[in-house]
Amino acid sequence: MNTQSNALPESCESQRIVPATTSATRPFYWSVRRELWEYRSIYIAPLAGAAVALFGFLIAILVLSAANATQRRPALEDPYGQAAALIMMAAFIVSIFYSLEALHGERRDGSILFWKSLPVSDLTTVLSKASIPLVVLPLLSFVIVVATVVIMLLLSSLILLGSGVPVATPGTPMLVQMGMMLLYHLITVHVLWYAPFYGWLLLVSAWARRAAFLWAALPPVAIGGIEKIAFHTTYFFDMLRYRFAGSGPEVGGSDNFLNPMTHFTPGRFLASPGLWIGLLITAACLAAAVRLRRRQDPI
Amino acid sequence: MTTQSNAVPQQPLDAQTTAPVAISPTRPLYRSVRRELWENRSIYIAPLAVAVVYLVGFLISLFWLPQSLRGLEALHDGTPQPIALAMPYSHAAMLIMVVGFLVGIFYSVDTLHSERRERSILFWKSLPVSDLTTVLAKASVPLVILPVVVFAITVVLQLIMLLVSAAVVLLSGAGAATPWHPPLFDMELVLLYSLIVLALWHAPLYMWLLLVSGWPRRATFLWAVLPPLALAALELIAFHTSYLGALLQDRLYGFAAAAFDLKDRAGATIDPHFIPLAQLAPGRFFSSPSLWIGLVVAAIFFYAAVRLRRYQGAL
Repeated sequence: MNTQSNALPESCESQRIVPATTSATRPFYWSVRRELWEYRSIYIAPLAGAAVALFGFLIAILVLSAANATQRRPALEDPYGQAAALIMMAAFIVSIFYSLEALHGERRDGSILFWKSLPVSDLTTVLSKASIPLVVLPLLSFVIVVATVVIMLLLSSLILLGSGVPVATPGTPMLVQMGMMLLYHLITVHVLWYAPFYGWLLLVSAWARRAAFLWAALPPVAIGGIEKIAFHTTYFFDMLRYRFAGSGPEVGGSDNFLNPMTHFTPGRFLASPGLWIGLLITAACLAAAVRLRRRQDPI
Repeated sequence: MTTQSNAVPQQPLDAQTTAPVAISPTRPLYRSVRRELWENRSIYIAPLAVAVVYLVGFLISLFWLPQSLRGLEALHDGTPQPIALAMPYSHAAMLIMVVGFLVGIFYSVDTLHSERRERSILFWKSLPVSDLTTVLAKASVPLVILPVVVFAITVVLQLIMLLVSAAVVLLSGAGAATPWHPPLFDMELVLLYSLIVLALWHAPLYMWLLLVSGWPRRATFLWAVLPPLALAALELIAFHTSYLGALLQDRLYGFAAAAFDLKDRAGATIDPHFIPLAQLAPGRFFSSPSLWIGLVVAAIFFYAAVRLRRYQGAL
C-alpha cells in the first residue's frame, strides 16, 4: 500500500493521458483511505487505549519497584492480557459506532452527493465501509497490542533491572505464541463471528432516516419479546446471546484467550454451521445496503 | 399543562403584545419540552410500537390460555401462583421499560449534539429562552417524560391484555371459578415505584450522556463510553483494584438491591416477575447515600452541560 501512495505523484501525467488504466483496486483503496480520514477515531481510540494501558503499567511498575523485593506480585504478568483486552474493547466499540454511522453520516451531512458524483460504485463504497470493522480495525488492534506489549516488556525490564526486583517476563517463544493466539482470537471472534452484527448495523445505517441506534436495537428486542409471549420460547434471544457471547464452543478455548493452554480448534470452528449462516446473513445485509445506497439521497 | 395550552387561543392577542412580561416563567420550559417531543418523535413512537407488537404476540398466545390455565390449576391444586399469572403482564412492563431505557440513552447522547450539527442551535439561541431552560427541558425527557410515557403505555397495554383474556376465559369457560389474572393494581403500584427508582438511580448516567452530547464536536457515543472504560482499565492495570468498575456496575444494576428487599420474610429470593408490595423498601432507598451522591453528581453534570451550551455554536 505504501508503494501505491508513493507512486501517485509520479504517475499523475500518465493517469491523465490514459485514465482507463486505473487499477480495479485503486478506488477501493482510496475509499478506505477516505474512511480513515473521515473517522479518525478508528485509530485514535485504540491508540488512546494503548496509551492508558501503558500509563497504568508505568504506575504499577513504579509502585512495585518502590516496594521491597519480597512484595513482588505475580500481577506484573496480568497487564499484558489486560492491555490487550482494553485495546480490543476500544476497537470493538469503535466498530459498532462506526458501522452505525458510516452510511448515515454521509447522508446526514449531504456529502453523499459528492461521493456519488465520483466514478466509484456503491458496491466499492459499501465494501470499503464494511472493511473497516472487518479488516482494518482487527489488523490495527493487533498491531497496536503487539507494540504495546513490546513497549511494556522493555519498560519493565529497564526499570525493574535498575531496582533489582526479579520479575518473570515471558520469553520470546511465549510472546510469539501469545501473538498467534491474539491473531486467532481476532480473526475468529472479532471478524468472522461478529460479522453479522456489523452487516446489520451497516444495513440500518443505510436505511434509517434518523434514530439509527434505535432502529438497530429495537427490532431484535421486539422480535425476541413477541416470540417469548406468543410461543413461550426464547430461540431468538438464545441465538443472539450465543452469537454475542463470542468465543463459543466452536471457537475453542476458554475466556482467557491469551492463556497458552488454550487449544486452537480451527477445524471445528470452520465446520460449525453457525459461522456460515452468520456469514450468509452478513452478505445479505451488505447486498441490501448496496441496493439501498443506490437510491438514497441526503436526509 | 393541558389547561395552559388550551388557554392560549382564548387570550386576546393584543394583550400579549402589550404586556409581554406577563408570560409565566414556566411557559418557556413547557414549550421547550413540547419542542423535544416534536423533534424526537421516537420518545413515544418507539414504546408504542413495541407495545403494539407485544399485544399482537399476546393475542397469538391466547390460543393456549385456557389450556395453560387448566395446566396451572392441575399444577397448584386449583390455586395458580400469582407469579405464573403475572408473567405476561410483567414481561410487557419489562419490555417497555427496556425500550424506554434505550430511547433515553439514545436521546440523551444525541440531543445537544444534533442541534449543533444541524445548526438549529442558532435559531433556538435567538429565542428568549435561557440555556438553563433548554437543558432542563432536555434533561426532563429521560427523567420525567419517558417514565410517564412508559407508565401510561404499560398500564393501557396491561388493561387491554386483561380485558381480552377476560373475554377468552369467559367464552371458553375454562378456569372461570379460579383466579385467572394477577393483582394488577398492586403491579401498577410496583411499576410506578420502579420507574421513579430507575429515573433517580440512572440520573447521573443520563446527565453524563447529556454533558457529552453538548461537548465533543463528533463521535459523542465514543466520548460517552470510552473514558469511563479507560479509567476503569487504568485502575485495574495500575493498582489491581476495580473500585471504579464496581461503581459503574452498581450504577447500572444496583437499584434492585437498593430499592427492593430481595429476600422475603421466609428468606426466599423473590421473583422479579411478581414483586409483592411488602418487598418495596422506599425508606432504605431514599436514605441510601449512593442515591444522593449520584444525584449530586447528576446536578454537577447538568450544570456543566448548561454552562457548555452557552459557549457552543453550530459545528
